Amino acid sequence: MSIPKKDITVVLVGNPNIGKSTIFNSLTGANQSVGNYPGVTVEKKDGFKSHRGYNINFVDLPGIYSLSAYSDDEIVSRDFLVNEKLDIVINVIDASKMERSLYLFTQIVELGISVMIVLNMIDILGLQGKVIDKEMMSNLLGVPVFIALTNKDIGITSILDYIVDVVEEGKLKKQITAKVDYGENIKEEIDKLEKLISKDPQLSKFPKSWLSIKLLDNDPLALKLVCKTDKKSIILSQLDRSREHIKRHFGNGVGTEIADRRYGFANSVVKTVIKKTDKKKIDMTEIIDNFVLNKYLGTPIFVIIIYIIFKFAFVFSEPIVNIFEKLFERLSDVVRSVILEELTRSLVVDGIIGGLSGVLGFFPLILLMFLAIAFFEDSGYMARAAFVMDKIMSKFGLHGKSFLPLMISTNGCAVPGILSTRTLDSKRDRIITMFVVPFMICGAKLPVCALITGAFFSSKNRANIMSLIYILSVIIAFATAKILSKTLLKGEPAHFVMELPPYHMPQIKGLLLKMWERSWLYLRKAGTVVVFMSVLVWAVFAYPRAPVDENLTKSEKAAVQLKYGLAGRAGKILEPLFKPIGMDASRTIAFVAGLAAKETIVSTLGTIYSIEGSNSCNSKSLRKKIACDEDWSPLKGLSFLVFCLIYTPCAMCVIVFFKESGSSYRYLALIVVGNAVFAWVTSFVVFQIGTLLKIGV
Amino acid sequence: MKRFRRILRYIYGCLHRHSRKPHFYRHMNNRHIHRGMKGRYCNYDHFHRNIHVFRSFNEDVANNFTKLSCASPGRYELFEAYCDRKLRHRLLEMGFVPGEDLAVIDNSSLSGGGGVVIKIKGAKIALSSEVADKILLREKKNN
Repeated sequence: MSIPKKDITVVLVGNPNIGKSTIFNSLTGANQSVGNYPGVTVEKKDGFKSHRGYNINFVDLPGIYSLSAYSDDEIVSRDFLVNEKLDIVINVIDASKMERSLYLFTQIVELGISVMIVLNMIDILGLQGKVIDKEMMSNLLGVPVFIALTNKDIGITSILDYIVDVVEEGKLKKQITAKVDYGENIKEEIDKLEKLISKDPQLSKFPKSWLSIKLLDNDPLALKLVCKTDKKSIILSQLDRSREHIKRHFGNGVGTEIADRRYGFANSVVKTVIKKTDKKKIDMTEIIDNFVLNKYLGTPIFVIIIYIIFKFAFVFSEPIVNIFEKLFERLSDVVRSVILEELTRSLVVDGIIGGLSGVLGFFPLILLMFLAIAFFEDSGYMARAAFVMDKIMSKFGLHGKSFLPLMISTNGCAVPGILSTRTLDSKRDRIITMFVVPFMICGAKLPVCALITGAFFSSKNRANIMSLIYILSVIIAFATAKILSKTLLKGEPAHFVMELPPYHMPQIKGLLLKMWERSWLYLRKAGTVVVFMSVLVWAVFAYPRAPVDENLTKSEKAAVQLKYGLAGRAGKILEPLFKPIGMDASRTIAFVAGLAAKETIVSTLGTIYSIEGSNSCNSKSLRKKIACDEDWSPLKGLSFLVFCLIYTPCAMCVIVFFKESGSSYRYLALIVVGNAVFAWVTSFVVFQIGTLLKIGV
Repeated sequence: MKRFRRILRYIYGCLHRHSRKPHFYRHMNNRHIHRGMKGRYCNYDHFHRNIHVFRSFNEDVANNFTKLSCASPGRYELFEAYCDRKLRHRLLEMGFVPGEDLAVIDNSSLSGGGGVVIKIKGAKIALSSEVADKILLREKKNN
């Protein structure tokens, strides 16, 4: 194109749970990137779209109810709106809860930015037997109003057209007429404050009326702004007088009074714009909620849904996992025949392919797991589940919302689990949840459990033992949460106030995007850390080379190399430490390798046993080799498993934990050293009691 | 004997301090006990600092207002939320404005633990019983 493309920045703002990301997805397509706002752990979503020769950059702000400073989400959103240079704000409004959406709208208008409204959830409004007059709303507010029809493309194109029109003409077609009437008394005080603010050069950069309203509302950030300037004493004393005056006049606090006025405005808009028709359809949400939130049925339904998620992931991933396994076997056969030199062949087959297959083997399971979770999340059930679980969770010092991170971590991955703790409001709840998330059996610990249960228990009991281990992991997690909330992180979990969005069928595109975002974190770890680590583990076993003795057989040579290598020596040194919990040198090495990634525990054992050709058992599978080995016993297996469940989480997880916990070295030390000690003590107790009682020796 | 009674009272007071949060001081006679103990054994700073809040809260309860946690399903009018600023702000922005119509849909805290589900301004909101304990409602007149 001859004309250089111009950039347009468009911001999406709206309440949580109103389908804002659905609109964002259909506006941008798959051209999205997820990042972080500097300094805070709030997700930043960007998306790009080319339209009529313009590059439109969409920014999806986190879902908020108002523009104040009580949570990170709110601070980030209002900083973005106030400080960044943006062309237009799209305010997504939920037509079925218009009053509350307009409450946010009034605050955006006060900032003095160009706004357009996109109405969503029109279908739910229809269910309530109401219709909305789009034209009247547009005339009343002086703001363009669009209706999002995401299943048809027409709505989206007209929105894009409008955005480009606005930028070309330089201003909105209509003058914003929406203005909240705060009443004479408050208005007088606002005027007084405005005069003072306009005298100060620093403060007059900001929208004056907005700043004065925020000051009256006792907004911490606005107060901080004022405290930095020279006129602070004058403004603050005027502020005190104003607040006192309003309080005496109305009997209420200023905050309540301002909110009341804003809602009054929103209410009057809703009354003129929304018309009732007689037809009221049956609301499915109410019917489903009668069962889901029921005191007696709620918990059983929750358990059933968790079961469905697991079952879905396991059943459908099995054929794909099998295909993957065969693919990797074929690949290593091919490599074996191509590369003839022994050392290189060993590096590629045992190191790289072995490591990759360990990770990718479980990738389909994780992918489907995340898909199922995303489905229940987007359909609106997870908010109910958090409510149902809150009663139990709060007893252990956790918040109802903490269960989603735990859920993502179970069979999934702890890294996206930790990242999803961002939905928790209080820092204390977040840190406790982040501590216990790694205790769950993630996709990487699953093979360890499968290996041990497979080796020592008959196929009849296997499923039961596996469920017992899952329950054990939950008990460990909850007990730790309880201990933490009693000692290090004292206090009550944050108040549980949560909106229950109406149920709706999730958009497939949105589900896939969500699934991919979370699995990508797992895959990235797999691609980098795990492959690197498995090569490293291989190298530590293979070097330094043992002196060649021609008299030995091939398997004897391998056994000598195993002891001679760096890993063998390190294992020998560390062995006394792990002897009391029933571990030998090879398992000690597996634990050390597991610090990098839990996937490597199984692959390291595999490497050891494949080199250890002297094993009396001639079976191919690692499971049978372990079952034959005299040095293993069911009790040692259990002790091994318990240690694996509890000890220091993988490197990637620790790094993410460190970043998300606000770069606190104290918590870092606790999760690295504390967990290792905790694991050792627990295993010690299990092993010693078992030995004394002669169970499974 | 006197000392023994004091020790008993002390234990009683401490137990109650842990089992009940400040908002749960519903009855005046409970407060008598604590006031008598002031400065001697337990530090009731948190209690006395906010005493005006509890006084008006108790008066309101006495004036036949219902706490949300005690409200059976039905239509009500929101009267006031007695809580710290952060929670008050959160409630305000979710639509809990004094005088607003509010429908209690389900209240499982009536029969042992659980939370409350309400509908306000067309939105369905779930609250834990701790939060519901701090919100006062007025029965809606049928007219």
